[in-house]
Amino acid sequence: MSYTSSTLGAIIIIAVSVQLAAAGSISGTVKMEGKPPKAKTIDRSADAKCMELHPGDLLTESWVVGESTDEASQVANVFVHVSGGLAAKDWPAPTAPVVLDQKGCRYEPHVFGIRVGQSLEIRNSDGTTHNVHSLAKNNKQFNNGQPSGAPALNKSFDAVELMAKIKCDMHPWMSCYAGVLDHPFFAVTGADGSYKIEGLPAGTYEVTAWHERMRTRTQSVTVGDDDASADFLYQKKK
Amino acid sequence: MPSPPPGEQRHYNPITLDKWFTISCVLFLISLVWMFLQDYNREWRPLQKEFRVMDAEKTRAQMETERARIESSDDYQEARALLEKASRDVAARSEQLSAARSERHSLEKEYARAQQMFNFKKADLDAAKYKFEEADSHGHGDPVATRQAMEALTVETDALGIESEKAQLALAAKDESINAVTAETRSAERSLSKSTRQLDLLDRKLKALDPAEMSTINQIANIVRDMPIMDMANPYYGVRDKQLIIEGITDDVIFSRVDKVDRCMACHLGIAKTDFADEAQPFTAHPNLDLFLSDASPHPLKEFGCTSCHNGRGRGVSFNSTAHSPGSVEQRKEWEDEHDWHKLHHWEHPMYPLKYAEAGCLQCHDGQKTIPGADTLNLGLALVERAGCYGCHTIEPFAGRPKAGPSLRRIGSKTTQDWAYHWINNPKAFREHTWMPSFFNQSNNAQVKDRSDQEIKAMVAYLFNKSEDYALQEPPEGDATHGEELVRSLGCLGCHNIDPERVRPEIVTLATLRSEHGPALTGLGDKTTAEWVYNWVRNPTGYHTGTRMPDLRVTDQEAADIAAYLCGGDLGQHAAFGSTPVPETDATKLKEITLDYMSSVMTLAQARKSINAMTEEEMVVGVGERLIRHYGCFGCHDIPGFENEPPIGTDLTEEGSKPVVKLDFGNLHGEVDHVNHAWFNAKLQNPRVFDKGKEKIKGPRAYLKMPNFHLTQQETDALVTVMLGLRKNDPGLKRHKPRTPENLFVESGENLVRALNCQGCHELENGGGDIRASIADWYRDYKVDASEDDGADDEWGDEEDDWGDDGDGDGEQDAEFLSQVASFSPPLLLGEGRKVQPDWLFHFLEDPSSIRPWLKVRMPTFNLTDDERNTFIKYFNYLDGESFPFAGSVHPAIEGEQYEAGKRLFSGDVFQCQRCHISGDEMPAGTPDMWAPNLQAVASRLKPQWVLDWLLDPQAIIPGTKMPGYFPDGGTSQPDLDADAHRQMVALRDYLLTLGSDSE
Repeated sequence: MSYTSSTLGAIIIIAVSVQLAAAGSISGTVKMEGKPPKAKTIDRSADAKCMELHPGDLLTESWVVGESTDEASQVANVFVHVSGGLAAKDWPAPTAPVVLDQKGCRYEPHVFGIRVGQSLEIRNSDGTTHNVHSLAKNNKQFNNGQPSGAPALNKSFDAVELMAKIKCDMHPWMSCYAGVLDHPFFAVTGADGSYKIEGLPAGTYEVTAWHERMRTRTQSVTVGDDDASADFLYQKKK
Repeated sequence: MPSPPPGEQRHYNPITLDKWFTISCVLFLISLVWMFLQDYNREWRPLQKEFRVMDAEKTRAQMETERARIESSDDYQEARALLEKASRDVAARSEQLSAARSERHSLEKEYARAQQMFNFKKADLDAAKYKFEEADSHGHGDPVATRQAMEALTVETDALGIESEKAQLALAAKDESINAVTAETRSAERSLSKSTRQLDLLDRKLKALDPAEMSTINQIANIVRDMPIMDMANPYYGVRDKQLIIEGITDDVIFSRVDKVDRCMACHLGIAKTDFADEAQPFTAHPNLDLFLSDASPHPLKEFGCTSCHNGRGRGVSFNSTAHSPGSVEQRKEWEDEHDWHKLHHWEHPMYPLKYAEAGCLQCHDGQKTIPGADTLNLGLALVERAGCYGCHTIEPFAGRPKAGPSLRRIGSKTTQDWAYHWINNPKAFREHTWMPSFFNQSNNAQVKDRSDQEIKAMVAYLFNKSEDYALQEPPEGDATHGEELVRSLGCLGCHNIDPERVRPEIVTLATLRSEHGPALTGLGDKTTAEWVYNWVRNPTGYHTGTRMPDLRVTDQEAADIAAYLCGGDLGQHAAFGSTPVPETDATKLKEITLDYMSSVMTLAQARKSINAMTEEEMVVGVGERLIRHYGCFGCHDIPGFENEPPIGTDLTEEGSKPVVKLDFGNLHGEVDHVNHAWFNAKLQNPRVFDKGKEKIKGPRAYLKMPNFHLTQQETDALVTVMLGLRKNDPGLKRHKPRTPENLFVESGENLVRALNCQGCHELENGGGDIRASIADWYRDYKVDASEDDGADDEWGDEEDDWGDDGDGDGEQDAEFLSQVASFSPPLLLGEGRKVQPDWLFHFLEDPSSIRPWLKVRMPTFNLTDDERNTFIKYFNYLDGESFPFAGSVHPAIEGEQYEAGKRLFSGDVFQCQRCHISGDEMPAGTPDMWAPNLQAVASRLKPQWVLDWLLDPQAIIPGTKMPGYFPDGGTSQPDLDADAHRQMVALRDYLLTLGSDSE
């Protein structure tokens, strides 16, 4: 599937390493029981421009999986982060911005992590107008129109928020999710459902996975000097 | 004991006299000391001492914080570093400086000497001038010699003058050189003292407060100033410097009006101090310093004092003499133990108990029905409207309001006599939360149930006998399923509710009252027929011209569907109600009741005679009429034959001023406190309570007849607050909210808003838009596309609940869902005055045209008069501070470059306005939840300035709106019109204004 592979190629695993004397890491794979519902083709008939910008079918992005069998599937676009056990400390936000692009009437990336105070650079690579509407709850909402060729918008978040949704009202299928954290220990699963959180001091942490539809799963992980492993398996409710 | 000298004859024994004189002297002395001590040991003294210690502690703590703040502040550190550096510089040049100073000293001496020499010489010159004048003009001396002397002296004086000036300049130069060395030090000192100013002020305050911080001499003075007798002069503890004299608000003191004096702060010392917020009484700060007491608040302490609002005796300086009022029996007991509390009998306005404190607001805010911050009072005022108290009791501020209940003029077409009997007998059995009060089965008349039954039957008989005709039209076949969707989407739920399980809310708010504006729509199939509901919904005024039910412009089929839904199924049927048989008419009982009523207006013999001449029906209908008059049913209902009856209840306009002796406590003197609010409370909780023990003495006709509204304690407290606030106009109170025309228009607008329940659907100045919850239900059930639902939410669930937004469009907390619901809800009307043109509003209210055709909820047609529509225009505009005539020019000329720019920005290449906005009959491409208002209405509907504000920052006007801002932070991404954002907005606005005319 050409679309899926291009999506997966675009997904960036964000793992910021911090300089620590003894830095461990957590890595693993997120899977779900069985196969996900089939992605649907989005009806773009109302917007010829979008048809032109993204030839072929445009599919919903709620379920993006890698290797998939009847038993289990690797799940992409899962936001995995350390949700507990960190010592209170200020982690200065990186000065480089996180880039969110509107391309082919979709957002790239679909799920991403960003730090409190870090700049979010929103680009419009499409030859059409979009509007970027944040539906954040802990942060101030914004809603700005961005015509074709307009310069990038720079936004930032003032508070931790899991997850802040951003959408386009003009193209209602366009949405993406930002996990806003005040520390650098997060990652988004790639096409094969794998993730890696690096630079963690030794200790025991709560690690939480979030998926757009399957919501959250949390487990406890102990990190030593080397790589600790934490796989997630989304099971259906009994 | 020596005997009296011989020869002295007295009528008294001097020894005895001396003895008694001594004793009385001692006694007088003791009483004098006692008097001083008594006067010295006032209640406020130990409190003031305690407060002084607390205040000192707090000041010290503040100083610590301030010191820490200063020390961490850059300004302070900078100033200190500067000062240190400057001091070092000065020290390094100290030798040079001291040399310069000694030089300056000698220069100063030199200047003084030169100045003096000059002055002496000048005096000599003046003398010479005089001598010359004498010689020259009057011949007293030699003119030549005197002239020479004068000229010589002139030369000398001038020389000395120059010398003196030189010395002065030299001194100034020296000063300057010295200043140059110390200038830095002084400027550093100045900025240091600027940054420590707050600290210095606190320090000064602490030195006055805390003896430990004082010098020895001040410590002694501090003790002496407060010693008995000495404290007449200038004591620390006292009342004089703490009392407030309120100019312009007067008290009636023995037949004369004098300025109000409040001495409350003799004990309530922390009342206006923010840092005393958490202290206990009497030192606690006022709970709302933003609204009261502080200088910036609308009620500054100096202008209002305390007793203007709270009542009580402001001149008092002890717990009892100030007329404190306990709010409950427990509090009274507590006060009796602690303060030896007793009622101050001869003070007309005792303090309001705390829970009724808001009663005080009504004295000045007497025209308003919603007073910002007075939640209890506002609830009470809304309850008066909802319960319809003004139907039986004249209450001036509520004069002219429509009757609270439905019209009974055509009741024959609506329901049956049996249903009406059961309803009057026990309204709560039909709907637990109904506002129809209970007249029967109450504490004083439950034991005459036989009589009550015949009374109810007689009233029902009258109503049906006089019922006027109402031609019911046959409805088409109704579809209940579609009817349900209509009821849930048209906006019916802004005023009615359809929950058969509903009970009275535990906490009543203005919002819960708004949701009960109309009756609940449950059990309608029992009460009436689908045919009647069809006719009613189709045309409410056809049934009752004065109804508050607006016209929703439903089609015949829609009306039939709604009727089918409301009258059928679980919603329309009420199995338990009316299952007991209606008692038979009892002729004997009926006769007895008739005789009872007729004998009150004629002799017994006459009454008997006319009763014997009546048929049973005549008797039933006749006594029914008398009973309706007796119980005052017409206070809330429109009833034929009772069009001009005066209300039957006590006038409550000045109820709060009524002396307590005029309230009949019946047999409850021990049980109900002998104060007005306790009486009001008991009366509202059970209006028949004061008949207790009198049921056998009074005849049923004399029983108390105020019906029982089954009020909760919260509702009762709110109503008591209103009653306490309804007072005789106090001539001494001259702080009314200004009765400007603007304020009056806003007030009458607010009255209309409440009478029509606008806030049931729209959010306005103080809340509203309550319908949104039911729109959310409707949206979830009807609009969320079932094909989108892949069942994942049920299958996968969530481990924790703190991940609010799952993005699937069904959760309460889902921001996207709420925004979709918002787009299907009635529009916000905040800022409507700034937004729409008055002409447009006038016509819209007369004939609502669709601006948002995607909305299912319908703006109804209210039967408004021209006056009422103008009231709305003035209300919205004055509320937003717009000035008459409310609209500027709305026809700007646009051409050339401007026009091209506006057109381009509007187009599908740039802002793509028509992607969401409707334009004329042209609908946008997407689904209706994306649609936005019709742009062709801009020219006739919106104020030009508002359009600019909206284009600049839509989120500032409606937070969460889907309208994107294209001009972030006032900038623009487009090159048109020299990339000037403002000119682009004006061009776009002016282009929008041309849209309507294009199509014409």
